[in-house]
Amino acid sequence: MDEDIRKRPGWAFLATAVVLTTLGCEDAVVPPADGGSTDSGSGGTIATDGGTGGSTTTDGSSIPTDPDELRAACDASGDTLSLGLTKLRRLTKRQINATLRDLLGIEEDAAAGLAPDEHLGPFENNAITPITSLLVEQHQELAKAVAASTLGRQDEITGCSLESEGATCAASFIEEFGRRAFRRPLSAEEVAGFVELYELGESGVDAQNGFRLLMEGFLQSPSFLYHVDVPASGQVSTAPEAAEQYTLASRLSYFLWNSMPDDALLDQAEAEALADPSALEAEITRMLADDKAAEAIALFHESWLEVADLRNRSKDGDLFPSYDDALASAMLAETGRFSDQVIRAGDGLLTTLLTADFTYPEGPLFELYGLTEPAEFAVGDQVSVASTERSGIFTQPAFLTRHAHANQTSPVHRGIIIRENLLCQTMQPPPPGVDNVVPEPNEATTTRERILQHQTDSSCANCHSLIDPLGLAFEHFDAIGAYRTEDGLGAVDASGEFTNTRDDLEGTFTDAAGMMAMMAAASEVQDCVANQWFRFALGRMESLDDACSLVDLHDGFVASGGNIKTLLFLIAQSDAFTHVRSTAGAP
Amino acid sequence: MTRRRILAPFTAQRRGPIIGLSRRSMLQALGLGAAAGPLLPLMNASGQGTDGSPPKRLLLVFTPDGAAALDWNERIDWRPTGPANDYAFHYIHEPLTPMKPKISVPWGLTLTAGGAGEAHAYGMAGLWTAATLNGPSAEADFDGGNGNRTGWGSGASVDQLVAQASGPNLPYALATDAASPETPYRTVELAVQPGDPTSTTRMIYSAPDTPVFPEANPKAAFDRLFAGVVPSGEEGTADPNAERIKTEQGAIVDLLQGDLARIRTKVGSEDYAKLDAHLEGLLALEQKLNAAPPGSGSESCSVPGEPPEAGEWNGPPYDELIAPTMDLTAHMLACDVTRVASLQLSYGFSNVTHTWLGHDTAHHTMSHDETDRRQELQDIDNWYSQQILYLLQKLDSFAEGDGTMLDNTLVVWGRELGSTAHRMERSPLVIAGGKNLGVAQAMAFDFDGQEHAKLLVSIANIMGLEINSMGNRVPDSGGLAGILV
Repeated sequence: MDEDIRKRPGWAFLATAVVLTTLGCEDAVVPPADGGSTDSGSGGTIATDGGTGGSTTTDGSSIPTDPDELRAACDASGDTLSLGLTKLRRLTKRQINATLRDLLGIEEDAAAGLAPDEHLGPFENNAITPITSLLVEQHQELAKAVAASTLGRQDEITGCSLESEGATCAASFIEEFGRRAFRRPLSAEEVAGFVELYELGESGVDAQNGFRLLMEGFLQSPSFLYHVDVPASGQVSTAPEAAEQYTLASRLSYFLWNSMPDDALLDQAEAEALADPSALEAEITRMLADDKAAEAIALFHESWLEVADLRNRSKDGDLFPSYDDALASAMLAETGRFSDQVIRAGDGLLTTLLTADFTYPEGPLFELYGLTEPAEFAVGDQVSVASTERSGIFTQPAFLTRHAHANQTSPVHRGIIIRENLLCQTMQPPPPGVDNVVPEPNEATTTRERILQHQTDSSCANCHSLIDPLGLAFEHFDAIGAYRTEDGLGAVDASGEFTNTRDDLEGTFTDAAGMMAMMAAASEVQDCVANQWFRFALGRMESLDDACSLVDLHDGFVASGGNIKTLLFLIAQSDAFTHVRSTAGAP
Repeated sequence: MTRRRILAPFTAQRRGPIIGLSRRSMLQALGLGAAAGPLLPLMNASGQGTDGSPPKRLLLVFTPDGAAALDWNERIDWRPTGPANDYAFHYIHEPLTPMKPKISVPWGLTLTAGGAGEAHAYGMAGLWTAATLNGPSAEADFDGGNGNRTGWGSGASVDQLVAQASGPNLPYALATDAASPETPYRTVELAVQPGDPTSTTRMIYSAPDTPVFPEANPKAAFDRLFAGVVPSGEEGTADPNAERIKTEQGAIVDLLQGDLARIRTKVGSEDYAKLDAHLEGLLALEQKLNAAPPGSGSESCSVPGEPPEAGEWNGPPYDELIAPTMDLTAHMLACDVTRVASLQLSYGFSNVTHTWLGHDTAHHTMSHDETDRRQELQDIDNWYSQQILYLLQKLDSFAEGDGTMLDNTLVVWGRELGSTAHRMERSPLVIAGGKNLGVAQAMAFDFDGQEHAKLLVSIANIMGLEINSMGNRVPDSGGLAGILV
């Protein structure tokens, strides 16, 4: 497959260029000032380009990243609870697949035919653009296909016999199934409507046709397709209110499982138990212990590292004959498995995530690592890697391969991810007129040498001094993530220095391992990680109104020693997560 | 030669503030003397027949980038050579030669486009709209290429405007909310590898800030579009369950509408637009049920071969998807599944690497290389012309009246740039077909320096929409003198 067939026109791609001498880096945009005068990451961007999560807009209010300013913003709101607006959002394709799996045992990629998801920062999320007519029709087709696939299983699914019991079976099934499909109990009116639908389908044909029609109806319903978050009072209001129990249950399950609530969680909601803090905590514990959480955690990290489309990248076959789809799949699996193991089974620490000298490889990755697969090895076993070479998730092949060209590394791509997704600093795009042809690798030069102009040309350096050093730290890893000490005829130089970072992240490093060790201990990184999980969990960007929730999260995360598992608890128990604010009062 | 009933929107008999040209002034505009008179179709105004005569169709086709250039000044001159009425194509269009009798070239037009981002982005936004590309907002914020962020385009595209209108001279006689629509779809948008939705990858707008997304999976399109089609000679094989299906689906849509109404009471007004859009989609589904079975009455409707599946991450390579998608396009028009359509191949900023042409560098990358890649870029355009030839021959293969479907279809082939160096002048636009619609056939025009907004106005006029203005960049431009008739 061609490289970048689906490449979105991304400034990250453009940013890999050596600037042509004829054009130069004219009128370079001034980078963000020291501290936090920029937005902390992306606004409500739709399908952001492949390399960054950066944008300049949020849903209106720009939120400070400087901790003192954030605290001041919280204090300004006094004792009044404030939080950002809840948005109506459509389930993502992955969520639809997982929900169909849990609802009906569907194992296929049923949502494959749907239009692509939007993104919120680096995360899949459909919160901004209204649905299109094409997508409504695609959902109809999806519902029909799934309904057709359930025929023959209706007795198993309904738990009774529509043939012999007719409307009685239908009604009880509709109530029970509806509660799961809509993630809330159906009203009597809704049940009656579906019973009528069943009877329409059954009359003149048979029970099976009635059942098929029910399935089609449920799976196209907006209550199935959208996350509809409502306050406990049922009244739309401008003031934040405790979330309705079923809303909280659904938020929990899509956060921790990326799928629908199970019966146990729905029962808790029905009993209004989730309002009790210890019951809530118990549920979170239970849900994290469930293996469905592995998917959500893997998805977070795939998105955060922007490696989800790794399998769509191609590499130069002559330079990297071992690179194929099996290797790419193994890379993705490794990063997902590693993040889940560290967070759920391991010590849960950010430090471990960023500096571990072990991983969870499989198959073709052993050769890439220069290791021999142990005799009794089973996928899921932990394997040590050389601590002088590897250091945590950003030195795993998935990140390194995705953010590299077909025939050489891309320090700019890699640097941008670190600057934007790990430090939550928005970079501006390159100025107009900058050309973007990547210089071809050649034996006589190292990558660092080929992009030297980024540093020596003062109009390029404004931005590239912030990007390149962070990416060049990974120069020990080639375009498919294999370790190297030479680049062309020269030795690899992966040293660099932090610039434009908070006071507790200063100094030089000799390579990625050193850089990661410093970053793991940095408050700026910890706050950024907290913010990224906030976005992932809530399905919206943080706003000024969330200042107090964020202060609590930042403080709590630090107090826990950077424990991500603790962070997940903190988020799920936060005011932002357990409350709803329906409207800003717009007419 | 038989007299044909031809639509000639620029005759004095038309209503509306259109530039009414006398026959003489039109000849002058074309640079032809009176001797060329017989070559001009007769200027009779007539509406589209409601008596079963073939409908008018509009098909917009997109391929990426502009004519090959080395830099701002070093661009190829792709102008056709020879006399206007007996021209020869430049190399980039040369494969179109077999269809030249039905192709005209409006050389020299400057794309009426601009706004946020850079040329690929605002070119995409303006190509069919002549409207400005908006800056970013909370609702829409994309990388506009080599510079600032952008929002969506600020105007509706000509295909959507034509399809939204109704009347005796237009493709659709019935309004959009007709109980029994003439076709299952008012418009159909198809694409091959159009990329994720951003301002640089979407060109069709139903209204300002409202892009319409294409279907990029030919198999899904095939299933959707030909589900109810009754091919010619097979009338009577219509699904006997059609009525029941209609009732069942109608009941589902009613239920879903109730669900939307309930949700509306529980969310803030900020979310109403989403619910409204969903309702609109449901109503379109319901309306489709009440359309006449497509294909009925058409003399040349047949179902095409089943095309391949192309998913978001997998599927046949780019070049292998084009012919099946073009087959779909032609058959769906022949079967009256729709009368207004667009076909988008790749997207502005296309990074397709044409390995089948021996290339190892992507299209857009080559277009900004400091070495001279103009030959390779022209090879790409030449290859695209081969694809367009296939499409035109396909459209021409369906008999209609005493001619072909292509005679009743206006095809417009456009791109988002003038030259690959981001100039907007002399955009390589081509028009084809539409003989029965009053479109000039086999003519090469010199429109150097004129705004392409005029072409869009003329397209609308040809299709029966009486407007004098397209978009907001060059409003009230009027049409392009000479392109018709």
